[in-house]
Amino acid sequence: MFVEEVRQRVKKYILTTLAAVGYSEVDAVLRILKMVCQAPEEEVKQYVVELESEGLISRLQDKLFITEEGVEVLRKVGVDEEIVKNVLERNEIVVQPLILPQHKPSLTRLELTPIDREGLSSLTRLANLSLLTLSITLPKLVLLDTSELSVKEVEKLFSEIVPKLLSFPKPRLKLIKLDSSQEVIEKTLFVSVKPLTIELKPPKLIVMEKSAPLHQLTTPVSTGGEERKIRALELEEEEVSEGDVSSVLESFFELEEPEDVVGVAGVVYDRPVIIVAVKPRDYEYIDVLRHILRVLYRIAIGGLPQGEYFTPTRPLSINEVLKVNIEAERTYFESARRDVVKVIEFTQLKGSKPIDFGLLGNRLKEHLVEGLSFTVIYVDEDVADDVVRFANYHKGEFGSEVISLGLAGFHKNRSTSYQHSHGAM
Amino acid sequence: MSISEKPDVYDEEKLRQFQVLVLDPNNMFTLFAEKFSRDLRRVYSYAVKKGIAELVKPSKQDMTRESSDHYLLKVFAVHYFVEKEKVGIGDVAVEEAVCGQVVPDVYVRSQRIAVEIETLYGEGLAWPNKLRETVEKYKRCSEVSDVWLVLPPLQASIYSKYLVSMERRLRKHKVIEASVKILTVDLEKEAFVPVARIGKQLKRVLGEF
Repeated sequence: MFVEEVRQRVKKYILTTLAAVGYSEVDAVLRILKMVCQAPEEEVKQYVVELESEGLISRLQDKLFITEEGVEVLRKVGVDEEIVKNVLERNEIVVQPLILPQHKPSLTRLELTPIDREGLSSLTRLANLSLLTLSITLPKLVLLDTSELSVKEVEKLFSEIVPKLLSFPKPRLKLIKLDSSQEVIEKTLFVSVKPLTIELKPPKLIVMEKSAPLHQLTTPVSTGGEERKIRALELEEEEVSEGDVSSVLESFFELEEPEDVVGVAGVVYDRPVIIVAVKPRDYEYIDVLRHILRVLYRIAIGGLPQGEYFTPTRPLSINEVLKVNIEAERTYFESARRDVVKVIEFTQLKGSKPIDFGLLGNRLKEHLVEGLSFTVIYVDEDVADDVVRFANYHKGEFGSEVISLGLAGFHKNRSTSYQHSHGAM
Repeated sequence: MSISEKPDVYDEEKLRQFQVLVLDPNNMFTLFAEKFSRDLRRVYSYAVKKGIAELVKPSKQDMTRESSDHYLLKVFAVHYFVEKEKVGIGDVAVEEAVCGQVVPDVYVRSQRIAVEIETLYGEGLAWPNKLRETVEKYKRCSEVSDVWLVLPPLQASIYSKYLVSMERRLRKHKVIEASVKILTVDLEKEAFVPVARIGKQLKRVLGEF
C-alpha cells in the first residue's frame, strides 16, 4: 500500500513538473523529474510510461506534454489553478504550430572502409534490386454518343466553346537592307560609276493669267458657288487612268522616265542622298524641294529631320575660291549632323573661281557612315557641270545616291570620262 | 478667328498686287504649304471651341505616338461630318471598333463610312503595302459600305500616279466588298477631294508649260 502511495505521489510530481516546465524534451524532463522525485532514472521512465498508458501525458516528436485528462487529474489533486491555466495555454500552443528544429547534419570526418572481395560481393548483392514499378492510371476516353444528345444539348456544347483571341502588337517595320553597291572594290582611274538614271529637266515657271483665281493653281477644285454644294458623301467615281494625272515631282522637275511613278521618292532609304540641284537663272525652287524632302524623310524614317543651310561667303577677288563656310557654320549645327535635310548653296558666283572641292568632299564623305539624309548642293548653272561630275565620280566614297535635278541630259556619260585631277577646281 | 474668316493669304486682290512673287513656283509652293498648316490649325481651333475635339481620341494602335498631322486630319474629318454634312455628333465614332476587331480612324455609323487617315510617316519603302493593308483590313467587315483612304495633300501629290492606279486596281479586282475612295483634303473648301482630281489638276496647270 505504501509503495502504491509512493507511486501515485511520484506520478503527481511528474504531472506537476510537466505542468511547470511545459512541453519539453523527454531527456530534459527526466532529468528534472529525477531531481524532484529523488528517484532513479529507470523508475521515472517507468512512471512516465505508465502515465502515458493512462492517457494523462503524451509525447510528440520526443517531447512530453500533459493531456486534458492529465490536467483534470492535476485539478483534482488541488494544483494551483494558475498552473493549470498555464498548462492549457501551453497545450494550445503545442497543438497548433508544430515547429521542429532542424539541424543540418555536419560532416565531421570521412571514414573509408576498405572493401575486400567479400565486402564487394555483399555490395553487389545489394545491387540486385527489384524493379520499381510505377503504375499510372491512364485517363479514359469516354465515347460521346451524339445520338443521345438532344438538339439543345448539342447547341449547349457548341455555345460553351469560346474561341480565345490572342492579339499581338504589330511590330514596327525596320528596313534593314544590305546595299550591294557597298562592295569594296579596287579603286582605279578606270572605275566606271554609273550615274542614276533619273533624268530631269529644269523646273517650270508657272505663268498665271491675271484673271485666274489663285487657288486654281494649287487646289484642284474651283471655288465656284455651285460646286461648293457638292458633298463628298456623293463623290462620283471618276474613271481616271495614270496617263491623265501627274505627280508634283513630275510637274516641277519632269522625270526622264515618266513611268517611274514615285520618282525621287524611289531612292533607297537606308543611305544618304546627294541631290545636285541646278538653280535656274530666273527663279528659285529650293524651298519646294525642301518641303518634298521633308515629307520623304518622314515617310522613310518617321519623325522629323534636322535642318542645315549653308550659304557662301563671297570671295573678295575674282581669283579666290568660293568658300561655303561649312567649317565655321558647322559649330552652330553640331547637333544636326545626322538625319538632316541639308542645303549647301553655291550661287551667284559671277565668274569667280568657284568651289573648294576638298572642303566639300570632306563634308560629303561624312555621309558614308550616316543613315538617310538629303544633302542638296544648290548650284548655279555655270558650275553645275563640275559639281555633278565631282559628285558622281566620288559617290562610292560618299556612300550616297547621287541625283541631279535641273538640267535634262546634263550628267549623261560625264562620270566615266572624269579624271580625278580637279582637287582645286 | 471664325472659320469663315480668311487670313491674308487668301486675299486674291492682295496677292495679285505681288504677282511677281506669286508667279515664282518656289514662293507659290511654300505659300500654300504654309496655308495648309495654318488651315489645319484653324480647323483645330474651331473644333476645340465647338467641343468637337473633345471626342477625337488619339490613336492607340501603334506603340509610337500618333503624328500631329494624323491627329489633326482626324479632327478635320469629324469637323467635316458634323459641320458640313450635318451628321449628329453621336453618330461619329473615333478610334472605335467595328466588326469586332477593325478600328477605323473615324466611322460614321449612319452612312457606314470608315475614314482611314494615312500620312505614311515611318513606313519606309513599304508604304504601298501599308496602304493595301489598310484597305484589306475591311475584307470581312460587311458593316462598312465605304472606305475613304485619306492622304495629306503633299503625299497625295507626290504619289498621285500610284494612287490613281491603286484605286483602279482595288475597284477592278474587288479587293473588298466596300467601295474604296482615295482622297485628300481641300482645307479651303473644307472638303474631301479625290486624289485623281488633284493629279489631273497638276497635269493641266503645270504640265502644259
